[in-house]
Amino acid sequence: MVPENLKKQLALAVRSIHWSYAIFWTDSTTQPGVLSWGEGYYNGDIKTRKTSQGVELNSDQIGLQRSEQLRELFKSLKTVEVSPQTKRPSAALSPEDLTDAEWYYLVCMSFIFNIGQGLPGRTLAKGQSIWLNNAHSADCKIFSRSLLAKSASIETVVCFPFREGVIELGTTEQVSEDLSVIERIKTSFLNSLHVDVPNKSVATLKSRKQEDLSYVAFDHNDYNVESIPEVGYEIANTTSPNGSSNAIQANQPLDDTLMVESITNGTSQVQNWQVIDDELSNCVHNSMNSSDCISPTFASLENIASAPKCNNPSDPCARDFQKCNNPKMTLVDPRSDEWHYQRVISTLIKNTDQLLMGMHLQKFPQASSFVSWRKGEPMDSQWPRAGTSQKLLKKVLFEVPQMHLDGLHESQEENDYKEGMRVEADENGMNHVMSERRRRAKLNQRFLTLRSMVPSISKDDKVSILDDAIEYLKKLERRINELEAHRGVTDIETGTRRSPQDTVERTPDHYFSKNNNNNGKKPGMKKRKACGVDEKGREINLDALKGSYANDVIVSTSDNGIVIEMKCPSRAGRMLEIMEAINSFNIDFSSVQSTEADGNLYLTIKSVLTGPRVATAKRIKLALQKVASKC
Amino acid sequence: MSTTATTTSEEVSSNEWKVIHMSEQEEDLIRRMYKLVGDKWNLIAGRIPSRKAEEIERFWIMRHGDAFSVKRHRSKAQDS
Repeated sequence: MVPENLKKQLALAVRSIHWSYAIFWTDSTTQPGVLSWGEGYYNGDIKTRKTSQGVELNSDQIGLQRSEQLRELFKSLKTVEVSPQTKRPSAALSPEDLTDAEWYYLVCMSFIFNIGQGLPGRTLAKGQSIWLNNAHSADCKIFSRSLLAKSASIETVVCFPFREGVIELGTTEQVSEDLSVIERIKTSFLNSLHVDVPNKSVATLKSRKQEDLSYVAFDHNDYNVESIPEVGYEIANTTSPNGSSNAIQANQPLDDTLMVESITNGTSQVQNWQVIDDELSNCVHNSMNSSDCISPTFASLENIASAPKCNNPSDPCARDFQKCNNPKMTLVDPRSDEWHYQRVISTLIKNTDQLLMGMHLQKFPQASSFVSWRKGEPMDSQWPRAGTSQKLLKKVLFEVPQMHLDGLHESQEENDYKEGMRVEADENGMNHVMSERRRRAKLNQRFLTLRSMVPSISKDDKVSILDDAIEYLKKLERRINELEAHRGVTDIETGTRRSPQDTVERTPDHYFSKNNNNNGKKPGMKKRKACGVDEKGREINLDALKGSYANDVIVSTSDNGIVIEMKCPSRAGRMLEIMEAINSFNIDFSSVQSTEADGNLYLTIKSVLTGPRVATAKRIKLALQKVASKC
Repeated sequence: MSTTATTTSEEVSSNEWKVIHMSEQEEDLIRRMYKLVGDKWNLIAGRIPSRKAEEIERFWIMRHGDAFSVKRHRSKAQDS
């Protein structure tokens, strides 16, 4: 789960140390047990700024807006991958607008890590921080995004566990390992520390030193102290009165303690945190139900940054908190509606606390909510729980949001009518656009395939691809003609050398005769090679014949010879009929190759013209087709 | 009686289309980028140092294109 307001917290953390980005890796919703992108903040270089409104933004808002735009771009690219029809909003970024660092941030969104795998996975598995220098040249087993980091010049990457996930920070600068940087980041997350105390009271944590740790006792009453884990390297445990714990661990018994290790050097500091009366508008716990409680909000803008203070100004703790509570790093945006809403409610509550609280709560003492804990003393100083009604508070909670909604309804009714008119016109146009887009996509796909098959393409444009394809086909055609001519010449040469005895031996009647000296074996490849037949070439032609059904007979002629390739259904006496048909044209066979497969007869006949040319290739073809078509 | 011939179909090969070897990391990154931006090879090449757009395109087509499916099956068979 991604904690609320995390983006702003990440923004604070990254900006405080001037790094390039922060990513919160969390348990994936789709694949449990796997870390995936939870939230992120980009603080690096920006090439093109795109804004939907003409308002000038400050650097904080630009960073948040850019992070949001990058996330939207990633989502839109993902949806385009799933359904190409989806149109990206016009105000969104396009991939061409991004810098190298932005690309790194964007592509990171597509990564997922098993526990123990990759930098975030190993950080979570070990439960400790990992600092990686020279990320761009790191081994891919350690940092699987090193290649991506190289293109974005990411030099330093740091990961540390946070709230059942991992926070990763990166920068384009080489930063030597410094744990105080991680500590500073962790303390910047203290901005989300909420202390709920009654109005006009001061909460003081008193501690005493014992074994380098400070033990703080709690008065188990209505008031919660909610703390963030990982203040130091220890976990802070708190006890909640309502039967539910606000910290990581389960509820503790009454004599439990809050263990706080000092942030700076691990030794105990006597800390005296005060929450000033006017700085917090408070939640009144009059109900067992936590939903009745309004979360505390800063009431005055001037005092936002001053919440935790230390009594001792020389204390390193105090210095750390002053750094941490820089006015620039406020989490509450004074211009937001939410802030205004909470302020109104807090003012109402302050003005009407006489109505809300019972008599016993009006006389609430001004002393501390916490008392010193002593061993063996009974804890019986609990304040009684109020049972008064909260009608006014509930009325405020229900009616204020209603006021916001009423204004919206009026303008919506006008817009609905106008939109209905547009929809019909848009649909017709959209259908045309979609079909056009599909057609273009098909064309582009075909061009890509053509481009992949034609070597030496000069340019990327379609005309060049077609030109090169035409040129390539012409070249292939010329090559085929050359090979045909070359084959014809070799056949003629071998034909003149051959004796009549050899010719008889090669005719189909004697081809597989058992009276030969081959002991009943088929004549081997040697005999065929002796004839000088291009074996590979013939195999290709045979293959071509096998594939073709329209051209059953192919007759190619040269000056002195004819090559006949044919395919026909196999049956007894078929061979004899073919030979007789060829003989009628005064053709002598120089070689015959026959193959029977799949119920078909495949023939390749090479021959030499003995007498005058009686027939053309066309006539021979027709005669052979007639023979082939006979059943 | 007849003999059965073993036939092999030869593809038109070109020296320019030699097999391009990519590391696992490069291949993974190309696949991720292709899923995001499609066949914008210049954008993809920008993410992979020391690789040209033509190289990446050729690698992708030889690895995933229909025209090279026969060749891929044959090389797989030889490997096994």
